[in-house]
Amino acid sequence: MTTMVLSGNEACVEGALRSGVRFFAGYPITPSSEIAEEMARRLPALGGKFIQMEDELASMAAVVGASLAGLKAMTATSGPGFSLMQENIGMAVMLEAPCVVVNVQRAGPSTGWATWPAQGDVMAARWGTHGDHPAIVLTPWSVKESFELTVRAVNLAERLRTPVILLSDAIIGRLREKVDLPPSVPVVDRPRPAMAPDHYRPYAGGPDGVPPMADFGTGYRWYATTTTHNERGYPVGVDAAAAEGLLKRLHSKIHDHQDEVVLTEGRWLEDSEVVVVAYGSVARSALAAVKQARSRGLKAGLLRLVTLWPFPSQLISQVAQRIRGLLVAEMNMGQMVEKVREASCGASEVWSVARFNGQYLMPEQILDKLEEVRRAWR
Amino acid sequence: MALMRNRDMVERYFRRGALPTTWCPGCGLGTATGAMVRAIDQLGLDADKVVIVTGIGCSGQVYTLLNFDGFHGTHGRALAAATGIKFANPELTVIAPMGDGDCAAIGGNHFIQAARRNMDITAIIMANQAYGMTGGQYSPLTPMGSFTSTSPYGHIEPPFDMCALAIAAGATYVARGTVYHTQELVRLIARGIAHRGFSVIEVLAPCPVQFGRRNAMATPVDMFRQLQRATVSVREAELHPEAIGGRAVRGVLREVEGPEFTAEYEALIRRAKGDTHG
Amino acid sequence: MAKRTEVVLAGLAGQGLVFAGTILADAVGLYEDKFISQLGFFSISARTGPSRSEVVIGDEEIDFPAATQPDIVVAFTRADAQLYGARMRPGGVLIVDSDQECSCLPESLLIYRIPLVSIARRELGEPLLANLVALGAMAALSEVVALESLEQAVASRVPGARTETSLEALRKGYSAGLLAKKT
Repeated sequence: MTTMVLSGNEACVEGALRSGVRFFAGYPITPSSEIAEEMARRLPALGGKFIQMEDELASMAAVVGASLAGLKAMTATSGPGFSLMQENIGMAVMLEAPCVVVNVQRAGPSTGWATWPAQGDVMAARWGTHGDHPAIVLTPWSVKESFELTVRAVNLAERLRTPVILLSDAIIGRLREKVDLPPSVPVVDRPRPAMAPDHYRPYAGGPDGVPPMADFGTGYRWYATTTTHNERGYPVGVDAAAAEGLLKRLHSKIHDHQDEVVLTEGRWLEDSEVVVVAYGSVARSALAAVKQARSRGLKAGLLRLVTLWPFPSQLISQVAQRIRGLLVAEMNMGQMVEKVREASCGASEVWSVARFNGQYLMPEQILDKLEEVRRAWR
Repeated sequence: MALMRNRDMVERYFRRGALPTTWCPGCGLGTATGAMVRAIDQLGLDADKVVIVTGIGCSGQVYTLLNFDGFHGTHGRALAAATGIKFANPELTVIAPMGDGDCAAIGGNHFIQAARRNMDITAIIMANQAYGMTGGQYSPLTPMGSFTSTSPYGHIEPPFDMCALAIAAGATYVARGTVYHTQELVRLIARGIAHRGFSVIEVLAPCPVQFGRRNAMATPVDMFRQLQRATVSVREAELHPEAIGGRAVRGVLREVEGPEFTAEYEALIRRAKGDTHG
Repeated sequence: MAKRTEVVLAGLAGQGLVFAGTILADAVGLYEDKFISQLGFFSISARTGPSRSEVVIGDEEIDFPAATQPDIVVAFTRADAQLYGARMRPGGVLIVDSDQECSCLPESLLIYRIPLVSIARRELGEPLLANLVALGAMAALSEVVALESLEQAVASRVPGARTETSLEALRKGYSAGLLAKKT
């Protein structure tokens, strides 16, 4: 173990490099730029590649290209850049090009408030690119978890051949904390073809839905195409069954591995009447608020979403059936609260505490809301 | 050097079942693709190490014909993706055939930045002066006064000179050819692929269905005649500059040595690793 | 409840407050074996506008990583002294740059006026070292960090030629703190 004081952004770089990321293409944007700067400094000595592209469209396209050429690839950005990357995040989904996109969220919409935190991109992370597509989105709540979830994001991307989004925010990206970094991390490599090139079907999923991926230049001579394609990678033409099969497989390869993908953390869920649902930096406020509430005799718990997408509907539904109310705390105008409401399906009340003025949602505000809930129940 | 016969070319480099193409009769893209493949053949490249990177549009179909690793991504981003591929594995020969809409409009910034960066990628602009696949709308290469589906009263914008743009942006190899001058085109593309640095070959190619028929060139033959009339070779242009008369100059327009990105990066890696001999 | 100490360093962009927070966090986190969280708050401009660092120190893992009711505040401007002074825990330590005229500060605080910027300018020839002077003073006026830990953090983070001046800034601040405590 090495003990270091790192920022969330720095920890993200540590996690990426230790899990084998050797390509980074990006474009400067606050509050994510430290990731690019650190990558520019660290990658060359590892034989890795760093490039600052002309914009985020190009950055994401280069990441996908590098992934096809065989490197573990990553980029990092924030709101406006994330919007530009959406086009080629869709490309990564369709080409099944493993890669990691870090979005250190800042207050939007548009240029917004560059140095101030928000969680306004939770739906953009799910639905930002067009078309029916799956998404894996992880949100760290600490520096340590910025490290761990980056490792996990890289491994999931490789394991399932999909882009994975690490949704950090201006608090967690800048936050410095003490972390003990392990000497090594689990490293997963994308499945590569074992068969001879003549028998290679680049988009045939196999039993777990994830096709083996040949690096460009290794003699498999395959087509990586964003056009709706069949198992061989040829345009489907008029073959509706092939088109449907592709979409179903893109979704099922993630859905069928939910146990590996969906992470949550619960505290005091067993004896709670009200459970605060929070994620990212706000989960820190929620934890502090719940502790204080319990010291005041309130039966409060915390359900922290580590994976935002796929959404842990089943767990929310189970929790909702046992308790009286869910309180969703988030730094936006109330985005995930709607998803929680849908999952709870009337089994419990759903309350919201939202802050969207670029300021950290404080424990006190959550505590006040918990008191309000208690008063309403009297 | 005699050109490889069509049958041999198809046998060696085309995917089985790829033909016929989806392109219209008289389209220049087939000839341009053939010239590219013949250039690859002439250079004796290892076909396993060639990657064809395309964008969207009629030119985006090139990859589906060929038996190389192929990339077909989002509109305009071919060169950005090619940059990632080549940078990740500099051993690969990366060739990006693009249409003029793809390269000069939506991908315009990627094009000039790639030219400036001078990574060893070959960009082939299949310039047919319109958006073919979407129905013949005007592109940044559509001449003023011509008619397209979005300039029904005549086009009022001046076009880019892609070769001048490439030279200004720093491309180290820039050439122009046409699908009428096939043997010359193969040579120009081969020289571009062999060149170490960012190479641009603008290929003037007719689009009879979407452009020609709206502009008094009803048949492919009319359009090929136009290519013949409207261009002049570099040699002729040098001998008789007064006689160029607004015609496009064919041939190698620029060929210089410049610091190539992946080679520079290899040196950077050696410096970062503390190898002072690097 | 776990022991939790909140420190706020507040002033203007360009005064090195984020860096001072970094040194304090390193000092306490790496050399005193406590848990720390450090956050910088600033606007888009590198040389104008308000800027502050918040460092939370605890003997177990820190839940909320920002300051809620600071125990120790260093204020480089009058506005900061008033803003954070009003939010502080009673009995907290407020160090104010004495070139700033401040009145109406809460009487419940231990207030120390120290010429942070003047010391840096006059005695070190470098007004930008006021951030480290302030940390030195903090070490003298509170239990939050030891001077030795700050010195270790500075030595490992400040390169080459500037190390000695930076250490000197910490020590000048420490002496000024001791002096302020006596008077």
